[in-house]
Amino acid sequence: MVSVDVEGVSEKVLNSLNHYVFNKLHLAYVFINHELIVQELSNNWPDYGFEEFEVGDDVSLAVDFFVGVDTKQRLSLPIVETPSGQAVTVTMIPIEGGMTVTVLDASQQMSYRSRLQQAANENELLVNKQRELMAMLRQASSDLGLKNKQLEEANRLQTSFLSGVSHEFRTPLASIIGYTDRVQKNLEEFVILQSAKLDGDDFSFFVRNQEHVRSANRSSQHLLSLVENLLDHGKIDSNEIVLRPNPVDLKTLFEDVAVLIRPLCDAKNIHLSIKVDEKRPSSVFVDDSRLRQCLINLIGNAVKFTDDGGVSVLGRWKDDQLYVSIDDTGLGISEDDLAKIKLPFWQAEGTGKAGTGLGLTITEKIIDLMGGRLTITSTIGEGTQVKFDLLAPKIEPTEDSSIIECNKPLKVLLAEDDLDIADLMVMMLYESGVDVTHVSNGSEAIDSIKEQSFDLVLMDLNMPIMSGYEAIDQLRNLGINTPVVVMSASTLDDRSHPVKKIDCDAYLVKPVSVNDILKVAAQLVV
Amino acid sequence: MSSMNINAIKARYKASFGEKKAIVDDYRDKLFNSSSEDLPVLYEQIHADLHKLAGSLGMYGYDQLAEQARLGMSFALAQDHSSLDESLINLSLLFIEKS
Repeated sequence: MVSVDVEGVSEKVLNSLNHYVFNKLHLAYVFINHELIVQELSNNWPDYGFEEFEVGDDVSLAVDFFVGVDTKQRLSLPIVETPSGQAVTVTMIPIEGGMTVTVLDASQQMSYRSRLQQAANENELLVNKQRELMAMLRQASSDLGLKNKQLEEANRLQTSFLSGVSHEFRTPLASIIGYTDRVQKNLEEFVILQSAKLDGDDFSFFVRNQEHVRSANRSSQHLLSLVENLLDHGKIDSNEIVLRPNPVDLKTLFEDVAVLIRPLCDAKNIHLSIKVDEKRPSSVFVDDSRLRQCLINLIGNAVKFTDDGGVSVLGRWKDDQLYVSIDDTGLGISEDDLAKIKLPFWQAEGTGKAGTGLGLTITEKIIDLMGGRLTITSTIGEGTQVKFDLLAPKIEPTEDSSIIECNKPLKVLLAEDDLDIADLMVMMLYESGVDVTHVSNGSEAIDSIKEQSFDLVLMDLNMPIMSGYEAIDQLRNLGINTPVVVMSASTLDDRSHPVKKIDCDAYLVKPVSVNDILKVAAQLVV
Repeated sequence: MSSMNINAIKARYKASFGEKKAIVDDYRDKLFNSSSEDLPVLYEQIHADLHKLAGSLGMYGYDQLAEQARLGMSFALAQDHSSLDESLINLSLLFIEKS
């Protein structure tokens, strides 16, 4: 063993340390001079599989790392494999007289390195796998997106096709209904007018034909309602349904529905009860057409599937909500069917009841649009209960504070050729305490104004004999400055007389309310 | 505001829907049967009548019908035969529905 002078460390301690280091680390060494002749070596040098050297051996060609070595340069080799297959690190340390070549077991490092490499390889595999899966996911997502677009397009085409076809059916059906209506009326009038000339056989002939026409009319109406359902389904699918709420008297609406449904119940000899609770406001704000459609659909279904007993309908209003319950003693619906009943085009099998399978789908969607909910419960053999609720805000009657107060009644001349409008306006103005005179054309208006004075003239524009335009011109030419309020259905009554060119004091667009008139009068009449 | 008298007037108006529908249906017939030389005059007549109808329907609160009548007016003014025919059909159907 070579003793090394290490400052401050005794030889005894150095030796024990060296002994420890050599044994612990299984360090082997060889000391060679500058001519590459072995001067000294550790006993365990051969343990690494190296050729056995003896002192004095020339090692220049003995081991790979000795070949061409510069004994004056420090050199550390990366992990090399010994002849016995061990992994070692080799360090060449120049010292005085030569070089110490140390060999240290690196099997642990090698093993660690292998494990790292393996982990890196596995990681690389995982990353590749992940990339593959991501690519597959992206592809699947893209395929799904494409499929969705195709489905949307197919749905749109289906809806468009249904709407188009329904439209085509609607037009001729409307004609059939219109003409059969007219034929019915013509037959009735003919029978009445010709009753003196007709004998028993003739009467029977006409009655039979009336019945045929009535049948054709009813069938057409039924077909039309099926077509309307298809159209509605299309509109719902493409979000085109527009609600038109307006003030509605619930009692009147429910009574109207009862009138429509009762003949169906009478024909089947089943009982019908339709009631609405007395505790309700006089008017609520709903789309009466759509509410009527829902009631007719649901009550109609109840009647269709009830052969004994009857159908009861109850409507209640509370806190701006309308609650409706429809109970029947019909066939009932199984649990399986209850789950499917609201699907479009689905119909229960084996009932023999006709329809498109759309009524309930459409009804539920309309109720949903109206801020409500539909529920169905049923027991086979006992009957079904359908309930729905929807928003039905009450309408508060308003008091108009701008109604003028006079010591004497307001005297108004109303020039309006449409008798329907005139009747209503006269009555409404009269009931508001207005003294109203009605004329039917501009010429009569001029004559009336010449005979008596009025506080205000309400003038329609398009009238026979003399129009409102001419009447106003004449009044002004005569120096009559009574305030004139023009009433028109549009701002451009005809192309040659834009309204703004008329010498009037105010302008109201029809439909005109009494309050509109009184507000204007309050501003114009001194 | 409503009284028996006003209600009676409103009921009478509603009862006239059959006649109004007949006028609309009649116009449809004429549209179908008129020669091209007669059409311009027919369009003006239809426009004028729909104008009146829109006015009274609106006054009586039949907004949907009034809107349909106004639509017909615009088609009559534009002399759009097929659109006018369709709006007359819709008007006719609405009269049935509302009466």
